[in-house]
Amino acid sequence: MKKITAILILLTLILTCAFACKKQSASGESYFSKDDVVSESFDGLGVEWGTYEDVNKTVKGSWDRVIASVDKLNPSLVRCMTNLDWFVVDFDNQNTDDPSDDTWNYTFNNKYMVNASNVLDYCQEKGIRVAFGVWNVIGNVDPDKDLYKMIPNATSDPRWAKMIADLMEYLIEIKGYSCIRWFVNTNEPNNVGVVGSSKNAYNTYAKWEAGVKSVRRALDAVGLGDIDIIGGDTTGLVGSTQYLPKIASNLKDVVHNYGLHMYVSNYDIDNAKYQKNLSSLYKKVQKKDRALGYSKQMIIWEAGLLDGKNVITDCNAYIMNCSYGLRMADYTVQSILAGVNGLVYWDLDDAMHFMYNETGNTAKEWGMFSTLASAPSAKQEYRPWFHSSVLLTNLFRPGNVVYKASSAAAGVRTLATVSSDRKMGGFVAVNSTRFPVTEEFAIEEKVNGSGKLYIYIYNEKSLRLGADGFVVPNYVIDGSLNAKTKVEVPPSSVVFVSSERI
Amino acid sequence: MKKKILLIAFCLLIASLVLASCAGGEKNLSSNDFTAVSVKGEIGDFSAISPKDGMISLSVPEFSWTEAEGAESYVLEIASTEEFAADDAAYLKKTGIVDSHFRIGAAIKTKNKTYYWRVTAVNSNNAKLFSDEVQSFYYQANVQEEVAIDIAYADEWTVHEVGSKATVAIDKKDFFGNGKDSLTVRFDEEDTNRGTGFEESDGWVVVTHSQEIEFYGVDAFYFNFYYAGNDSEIYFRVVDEDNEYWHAPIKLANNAKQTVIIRFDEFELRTKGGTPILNQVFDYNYIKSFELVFEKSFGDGIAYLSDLRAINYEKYGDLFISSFDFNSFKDSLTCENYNFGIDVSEDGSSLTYAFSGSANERNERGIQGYGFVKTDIGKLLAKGDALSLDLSLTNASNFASGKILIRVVEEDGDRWVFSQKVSSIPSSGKLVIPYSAFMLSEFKGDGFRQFYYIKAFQLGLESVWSGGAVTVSNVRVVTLSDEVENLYHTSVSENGVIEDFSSYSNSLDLYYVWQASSSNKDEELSLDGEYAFGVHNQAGRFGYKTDMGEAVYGVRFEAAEGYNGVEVQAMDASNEGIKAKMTVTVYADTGEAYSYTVDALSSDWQSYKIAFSDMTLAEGYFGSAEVLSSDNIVGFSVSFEYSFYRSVLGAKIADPKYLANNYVYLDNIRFITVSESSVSELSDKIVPSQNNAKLAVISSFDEDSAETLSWETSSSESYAGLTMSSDVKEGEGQSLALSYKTKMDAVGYFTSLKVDPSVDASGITFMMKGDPYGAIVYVNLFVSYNGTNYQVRKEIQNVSPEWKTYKIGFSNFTDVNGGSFSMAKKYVSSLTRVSVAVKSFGGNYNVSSVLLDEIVLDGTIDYETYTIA
Repeated sequence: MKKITAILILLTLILTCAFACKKQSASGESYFSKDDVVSESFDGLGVEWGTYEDVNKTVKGSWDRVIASVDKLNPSLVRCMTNLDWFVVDFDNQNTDDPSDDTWNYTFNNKYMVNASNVLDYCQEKGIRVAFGVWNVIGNVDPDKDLYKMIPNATSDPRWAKMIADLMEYLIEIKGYSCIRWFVNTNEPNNVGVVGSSKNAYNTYAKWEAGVKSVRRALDAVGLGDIDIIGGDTTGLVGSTQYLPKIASNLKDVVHNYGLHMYVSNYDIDNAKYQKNLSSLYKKVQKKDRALGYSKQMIIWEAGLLDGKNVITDCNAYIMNCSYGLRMADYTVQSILAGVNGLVYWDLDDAMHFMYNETGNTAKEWGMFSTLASAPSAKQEYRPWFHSSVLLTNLFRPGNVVYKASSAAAGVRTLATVSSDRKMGGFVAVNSTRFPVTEEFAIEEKVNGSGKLYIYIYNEKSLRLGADGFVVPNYVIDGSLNAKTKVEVPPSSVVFVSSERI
Repeated sequence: MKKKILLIAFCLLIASLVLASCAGGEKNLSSNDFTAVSVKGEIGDFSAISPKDGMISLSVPEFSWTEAEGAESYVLEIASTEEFAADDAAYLKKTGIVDSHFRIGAAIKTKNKTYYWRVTAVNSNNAKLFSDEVQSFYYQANVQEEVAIDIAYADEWTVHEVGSKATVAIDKKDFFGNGKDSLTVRFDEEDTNRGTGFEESDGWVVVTHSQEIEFYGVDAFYFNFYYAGNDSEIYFRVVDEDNEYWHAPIKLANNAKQTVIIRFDEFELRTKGGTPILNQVFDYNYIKSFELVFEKSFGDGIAYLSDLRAINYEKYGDLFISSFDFNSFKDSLTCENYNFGIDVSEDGSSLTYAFSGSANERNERGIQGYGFVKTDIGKLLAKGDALSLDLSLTNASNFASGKILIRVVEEDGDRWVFSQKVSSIPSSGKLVIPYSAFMLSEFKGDGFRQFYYIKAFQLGLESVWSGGAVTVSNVRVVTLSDEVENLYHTSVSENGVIEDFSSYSNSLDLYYVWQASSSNKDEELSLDGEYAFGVHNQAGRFGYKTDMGEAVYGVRFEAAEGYNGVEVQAMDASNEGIKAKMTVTVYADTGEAYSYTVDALSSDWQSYKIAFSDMTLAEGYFGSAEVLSSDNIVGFSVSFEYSFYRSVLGAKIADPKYLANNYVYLDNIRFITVSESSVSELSDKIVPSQNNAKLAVISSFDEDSAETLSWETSSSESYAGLTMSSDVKEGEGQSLALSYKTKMDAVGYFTSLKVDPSVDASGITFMMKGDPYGAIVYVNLFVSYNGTNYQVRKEIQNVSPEWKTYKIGFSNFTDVNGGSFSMAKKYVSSLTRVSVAVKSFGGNYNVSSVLLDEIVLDGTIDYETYTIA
C-alpha cells in the first residue's frame, strides 16, 4: 500500500510539473478575451514623414517610390515637421530681440513649402491624421559669434505664437490641409543642449508652457480651435517624466494629447523593462489627468531604438538588420500594453533629414528605406523593419479595439486587434527568446473575416517577399480568428496573423 | 492512516489535473487546421530567363527565372563583379523571394557598366544555384540630348558660411531675355571686406546648389551669365561622384550678358583647401552639386546665372567659330581710318587689304600710316588657345619698318591687339599667336582677357608710309600644343643657362617657351633691349597686376647635372611704390616643387643667387624636403605678385587697387654652384664722376669698340652706320661718327640709359663736329616716369664743322608730343634713352657724318644755359 501511495504522490508531482513546465518553455496559449481590452479605440500606427530638406539629393523619380512605399505602409498617423525660418524672412533683421518687432514677412513660395505640401497632399487625400510642427524656435545666426541665436524667450515670445498662427492658418485655411490635427510646439523641448550648439538652449519648461498657452490663444483667434497642441513631444523617460505630469497638472484644459519620443535600449526591450517604465510614466500622468485613456490619449511621436545610434551623424547602424524590426514590433506591443494609444516610427526615408556640420551635410540614415541618390543599392532597398512595420500598421488600424492575452508563453508578448466593424482582425506575437515557442491563439470577439488567415513570420530566414519587393504571407489557411490557431513562433521572430491579406 | 494518505494523494492528483486544465483560461473553442510544414528535399534544376547574359538594358531590369521544383524561396544577388563580394558597393542581395521574378526598388547608380546576377533556390535543407550560375547584363545609360539644371528656388542655393556674405535670390524678370528665371548673387563692400579676423575668407563667396544629376551623352555646361563688380575671379564648380571638386574659370566679360559654354574637359581638380583628392578623374556622369565661386571679390558685385544646362558641345557648333570664312563676314567689312582696297578670295579663306602710298598721308583722324579693316564676328571661339594665320605681303620692303596689327573686340568691348613688326615676320608667313600675346589696346569693359566671345575681328597697319598689300589667310583657332613643337620647353646650356633671352627674334617666341598662368589676368611677356642689363642685350619682360593671384611663368627642360643653386637676375619696374614679390620655384622629376621667395624686388638690376638648400617645399606639394641638386630638376618657374594692404588696429587688411602694367625684367636665369644664397647688385648705371659729383658721363667713346659700343641706329638705310673715329677735340681718344645722307630723312642714333638717382644734372653737355653741309642735329631725351613715356627734343641747326662744346640746359628741350612735359632734375634718374638724329638739306645726296664725343649729364649749368663754344 505504501508503494501505491508513493506512486500516486510521484505521479501527482510529475503531472503538476509537466503542466507547469509546458507553459514556461515551449508552448503557450494566447487567448484574447473580450474582457481584456487594452484600447477601445486605437489611434493607429504611423511614421515620421518629415518635410524633405533637399529633394535634389534623391534619386530622380523617387517620389513615386516614396508614394508606393507609403501606400503599402498605410500609416494612420504622420508626423511632419518643418522649420519656421524656412517660411519667415527678415525676422529680427535689426537684431534687437525686440518682441514687439513684428516686421517680418512670409515666403511660402519655396522648396520647403513644396516639399511639405507633397506630404500633406498625400495625407489629405488618404485621410491620414497629421501632427504638424516646427523643429525649433526661430532665430538668427549671431553675427558676432556665429552661434545659433534663437529668441531668448523661446516659444513664450509673443512673436512665436503670431507666426505659428499665421503658418497654421495658411496651411489649414488657405491650403485646406484639414488632415493637420495636432501642432508640435517645437521638437523635444526638454533637450536643451548647450548655448552655441543647440537651438533649444534657452528653453525651459516654464517658457514652453507659456508658449503653449500663447499658441493656443493665437490658434483660437484664427478659428483653429480644433487643432490640438501636443503636450510635450519630449524625449526620453527622464525628460518626459519631468514635463508630462506638469502638463497634466498645468495644461489640462489646453493639451489633449500627451506626446513623447522614446528611444529605447535593446536591453530594456528584451527584458520588458521598457513596458514597466512607460507604464509607470503613464500612470503618473493619468493620476494628474484622469481623462488620459478616455478622452485623451498618449502617443509616442518618435519611436526608435537606441542601440546602434551614432550621436554624431544621428544615424542608426542597426536599421539594416532584421533584429531592428523584431525589437520595434516588441517595442510596439510593450508601448500599447503600457497604455500608449498610438505610435509613430522614426522614420520613413533616409533622404528626409540631414545633419548639418562644417564639412557638409550628412543624411540621417534611420529610415525604412533610402531614396538618396548617393546611397548604394543595398541601402536604397527596403530594410527588414519596413516589412515588419507594414504588417503592424496595417493590422492595428485606427478605431480598432486592442486586446491583450490572458496568458502567453514566457518571453512572448502578444496583442490582438479587431476592427470597429468586426470585419477584420488579427494578432501579433513577439518571441524575443532564443527558443521556438508553440503558441495557440484565439480571439473571443467575433470577427467576420474572410474565412482565411494570413500568417506572416518575420525573421531573417522566414521573411517572404513577392515580386514587387513587398512582404507576402508564409502561409494562407482556411480558418477563423475565433478558432484556436496553433503556430510555432521561431526564436527571435514575430508572427503576424491577419484575417486579411496585407 | 494508510487510507488518509491515499485520500490526500488522490486529492492532489485531482487538484493537479484541474490546475493544469485551467492554466490557459481557455473556453470551448474549435481549432483551425494548421501545421507549419517546411519544404525539404532536393531542389530541381532551374535557369535564368531575363535579363539574358549580355543583355543591354536601359533601365533596371526585372529579374526572372524558371521555377525550381522543391524550392521554398529564392535569393537574388546582383553585383558589379562575378565574385559577388559583399564589399562591392553595388552588391545587392534579396532573400525570401517567393515568386520566380523580382523587381528591385533601388536604383543602380552607375550606368554604362556590366552587372552580374544569380539566383539561389532554397528550402529547409538545401540550396541550389540556377544552372547557368551567373548571368550578366549591361546597364546602359540613356543618352541625353540636354539636361536642364533647374535654378529652382533661392533657398536651394546656400552661401558658404566661412566665406563672405552674399544674398541669393531668384530674378523672374527675364533678365537675359531667354524666358527663364535667373539666380542672382549679390554682395557688397561691407560683406567682402570685413577686415581683421576675416583675412582668409574676405572676398571669397561660394554659393552652392546641391542636386544629384546624371549626365550621359553631354559634354559641356551651358549657361547665361552676367557679372558687374570689382575685379573678381569667378569659377563654375561642381562636385563629382567621389566628392572631388572640379572647377573651370568663367571667362568674364564685365557688365555683359554672356553665353558661357564650358566643356567638361576644361574642368580642373581643385587641390587646395582640403577638398577631397581621390581618383583625380572628373566623374561627370554623376554630379552632386553646382557652385559659383567668387574669389578676390572685394567690393560690390552682382552676378546673374540662368538657363543652366548640360549640352552636347557639337550640337552648339553654330555658336562657335573655328576657322574664318571671310565671305560670311563680307557684308560687315568696313575700314577704320583709311580706305583700304579690300578683296576676299573666292573660297573666303583669305582677305587682302591694299594701300597706296597715300597711306603716308594723314588720314581722317590725322594719324599717319595707321588704319584697320574690320568685320563683325559675334561668335564664341572654338576650343583652342591661339590664332593661327598666314601673312603674305606685297611690296613688303616698302613698309619693312611698319607693323601688322591684329585686333579682336570682346563681348564687353575691350579691344586686344597683337602687333607684329613686318621685319620680324617669319619667311613662312605663318604666325601662331597665343591669346596671351594680345595686349589690351582699348579698355571698354573689364580689361580682362577672355578670348571667349568675339564681337569683331580687325586687321590693320601701323607706321606704314608706302604702298603695298597684306593678305591674311587661313585664320584658325588652334591649340598651341598642336602647333608648336616642344611647347614650354627649353634646353639648359652646357654652362647651366636656362634662359638668357638672347635667342629670340620676336616676343611671340617667348610665349612658346614660357607658359604663363591666367590667374593674375595681366600676364604678359615681351623682349626688351632698353632695360636689359649691359649693352647689346635683351631681357625678358614679365607683367603682372596687383592684388590678383600670382602671375606665374614656367618652363620645362631636361635635367642638368652638377649644380646646387640657381641664379636669377631681375629688375623691378613696377609702378611707383610697388615692389613685386618674386617666388622662384624649381620642379623635381619626382613631382615635388621647391620655392624661394624674395619679398620685395629692387628697382635696380640684382643678381639673386639661390642655394637649393634654402628652398622649401612649395605650397600644395607633398614629399621630401631634402636638399636638391639640379640632377633631378626639370622645371623652373618664377611668379610675381603684389597686394595692397591697410592697417587697422595693427592688422593687415586687404586694400586692393588692381594696378595694371607692372613689369619685372629678368635675365640670365641659370643653374650655378653656390655655397650660400646671396643678393648682389648688377650695376651699369650712369653715376656721378669721381672728380666732379655734378658731372655724369653718358658716353666718352674712348674705350669703345664696335663690339662694346652701346649706341645703335634705328635706321635700316645702307648709309646709316656708327664708326669710331680718332678725330677728337683735344688729346687722345675716340669720338663717334654718325653717318647720314644729305637731303634724305634724318638718321637716328641712340643709346639706352640707366641713371643712378645720385646724378644731379640740370642739362646735357657734349662735343660735336659737323660737316660742310650744315647738318641739323636733333638731340632727344627719353624719360619713363610712373608708367608714362615722355620725349623732349633740342634741335641744333647748322652744326659747326669745327669741334664745339655744346652746353644745353634742360629748359631748352621741348616736349615732342606737344604736351607740357618739362625736363627737370627729378626726371634724370628716369632717363631711358638719349638719341641724336642727323639730317641736312644741303649738299647733293652726299653721304657724310657728324662726330660726337664726351656726352655728359651736367649739373654745373643752369636750366636755361645754351652755349656753343
